[in-house]
Formats: sequence, structure tokens, C-alpha cells
Amino acid sequence: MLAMTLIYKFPHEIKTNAAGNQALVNFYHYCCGYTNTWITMDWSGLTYMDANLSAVVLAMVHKLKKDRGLKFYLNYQDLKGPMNIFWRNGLAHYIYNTGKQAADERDSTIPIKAFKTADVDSFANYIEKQLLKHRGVEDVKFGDKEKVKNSYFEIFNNIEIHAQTDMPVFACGQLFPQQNKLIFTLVDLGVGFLKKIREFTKDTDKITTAVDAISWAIKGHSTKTAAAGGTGLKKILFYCMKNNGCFHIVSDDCYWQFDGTISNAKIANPFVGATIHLIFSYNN
Amino acid sequence: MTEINIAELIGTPNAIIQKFGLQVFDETVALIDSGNQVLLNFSDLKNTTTGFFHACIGNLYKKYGEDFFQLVNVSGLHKKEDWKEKYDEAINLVRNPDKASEIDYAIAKLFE
Repeated sequence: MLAMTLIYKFPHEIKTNAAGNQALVNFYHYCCGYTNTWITMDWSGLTYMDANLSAVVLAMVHKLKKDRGLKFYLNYQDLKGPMNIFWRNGLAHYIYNTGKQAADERDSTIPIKAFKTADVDSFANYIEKQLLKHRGVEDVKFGDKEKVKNSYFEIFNNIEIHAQTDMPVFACGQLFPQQNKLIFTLVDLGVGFLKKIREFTKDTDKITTAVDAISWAIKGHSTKTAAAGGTGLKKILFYCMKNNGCFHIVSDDCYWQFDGTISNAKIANPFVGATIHLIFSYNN
Repeated sequence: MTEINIAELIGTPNAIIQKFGLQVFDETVALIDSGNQVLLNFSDLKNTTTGFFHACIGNLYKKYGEDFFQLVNVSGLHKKEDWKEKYDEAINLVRNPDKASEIDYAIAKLFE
């Protein structure tokens, strides 16, 4: 039995919203106080987490392992009921490898995956075959399936241009059949929105806050110098407006969201990079 | 006219990142500067993004202005419904960078 003295207890429930993001960020911030040691991720009280948030958890765990030499223990006994999905989608294996991988006999789980920004074919294949052709997703009727697919590619392109990192990009999706929606989450470990936008606008719009940086980007402005641009994010937002979709952008200390209207929340002790949640509705 | 099969040039049918657009731009410029007209063949592509179109088509229009239409032809844009829209948008963004579109007005209203 490993001697684990550091234990981080997760809350009861974590969803794709500002409160859920803060719960995960609190875990990351706790771990940043330690190096080269084991930490137990105590999920005994966590009865539900949106499975697409696996991308955020894995991004955090990856960075903590790499930057701080941390190792994580996860008690697989806690992966019961709805939590079993985190064994089937591969997250638990990445956190704490027991040597055994789940067989997803029901083929009901969209796996978590990491990509280098140069892995365009791997990402395209994941989107086309593992996300949009997944059992349960394949037959749903989005407003425009091609636009849904293109939205994911536009985000990936933005990460490749702006994130300024060699670290992987983490992706995971989750179908919510009772709510007729598909959530897809993409996380990069780059510089976030504010740094580049603040520098780019220092003599013009003088953007100095994360919420203003995200708003600036979503309205179609761009820091790109190699080509004109800035249309990708605003087209995604427009599609969401017309098709009952939602768009969340998490960067620096801001959780920005469009869920019919725009709102934002401040994040305490923020994580790095940017997290995008795309929530598309469909009809059966 | 010299044809560039884009999928062959960039080595993938997934033209989803800006750097592929820049690659097409560079190759096209090299051919034009050697005295050629160029045909950009999109037909073996599967996926594209606005970023790709801005980097190749937008940059080519920026460099050559209205001569672009003499120097660069395209084929295969009909393969996907929104590729012609992305092509047109890439040119219009360079022609009229400040011109607001329906999308711009709709998004501006959200922020009121």
C-alpha cells in the first residue's frame, strides 16, 4: 500500500459552468503547492462530473506531472455508477495507471484524446469518426452538421496559431441525450487570450482584462499577422445564436459564456491556456 | 496554366490550419513570379477552415489585387457548400476590412 499523505477531496458534483471550472481550478491550485510527491484525487464524494470535463482534468494532471513531478493516485472503487465513464473513456488510466484498461463493450463512450497541434489528420479523424460518428451522435440532427464539424476545426486552427505552446491539446466530448445536446471541450496549455491581445492592442484598443480580450476576439478582431482573420470565433458564436447552441471560453481569470445571452464570471487562481466548451443542440 | 493540387501539396486532405494556407500561398506566388497562371485545385480536400482560406486566398488577393482573378483560378470549390462562401469572404475581408456583415451586427447587439 502506498503511503499517501496528500489528499484532495473533490466536491459532490462538477458541471460545465463557471462553478465547475472553479472546482477544477481549486484542485490545480492546491497541487501547485507541491512538487515530486504523490497526491490522492479523492473522488469518493464526487457522484457526478460532465465527462467532457475529462479534457480539463487531464490537461491539469498532465501539466502538474510535467512541471511539478507530481504523481496521482485515484481509487478505482470510486468509479461507480455515472463515474464509471471515467474508466471507460480513458481518463482514470491516464491519471493512475493500474495496468488494466476498461473495455468499452457498449461502445457508448467518446474517448478522451490528446493531440499535438501539428496532428491535423489525427484531430480530423477523431472529430469525424469518434465524435460525430459515435453511436448516439451519428443519427442526431444538428442545425447544420457540417458547421458543427467546422466549428471544432476552427478552434483547433486558432489554438495552432495563438496558443504558442508545444504542449498537447486535450479533447473530449459527451452526449447528453436527455437534454438533446453534445458538449465538446478542447483545452490548450498555451498563453491564453489576454497576453497576445494586450500586446497587440497596446497602442489602439488598450485591452487589459481577460473579459475584454475574449470579447474583442469574439467580435472578430485578430492578432494574426500572417493573414487576415478573426472570423472563426464569431462564426461559431453566430451559429450558436441561430441554433440554440452555447459557447464557453475560459482564459486567464475569465469564464465567458454565451447561453442565449452573454455573461462572465471571475476565476480565482486561474489555470493556464484556454478552454473552449462548444455545446450544440440537436433534434432527434 | 499550372495546377496545384492542394491536398497533394500540403500532404493531407484536412486543410484546417493557417500554415497550410501559407504553404499554398508561397507555392502559388513562386509559380506566378515565374510567369505562370495558377489553377488551385480544391477537389481532393475534405475539410477546410476560414483560417486556411484567409492565409491562401486572402493573402493572394492582398498581394495581387484585382489581378488575382486573372492569375489564379480555382476548381473543386463546389465540393462543399460553404467553401465558396469562405473563398468570397477571404477576398472581401481584404477588400473591405471595416465593412460589417450580418454576423457583425448580430454579435454587436449581444454586447449592448
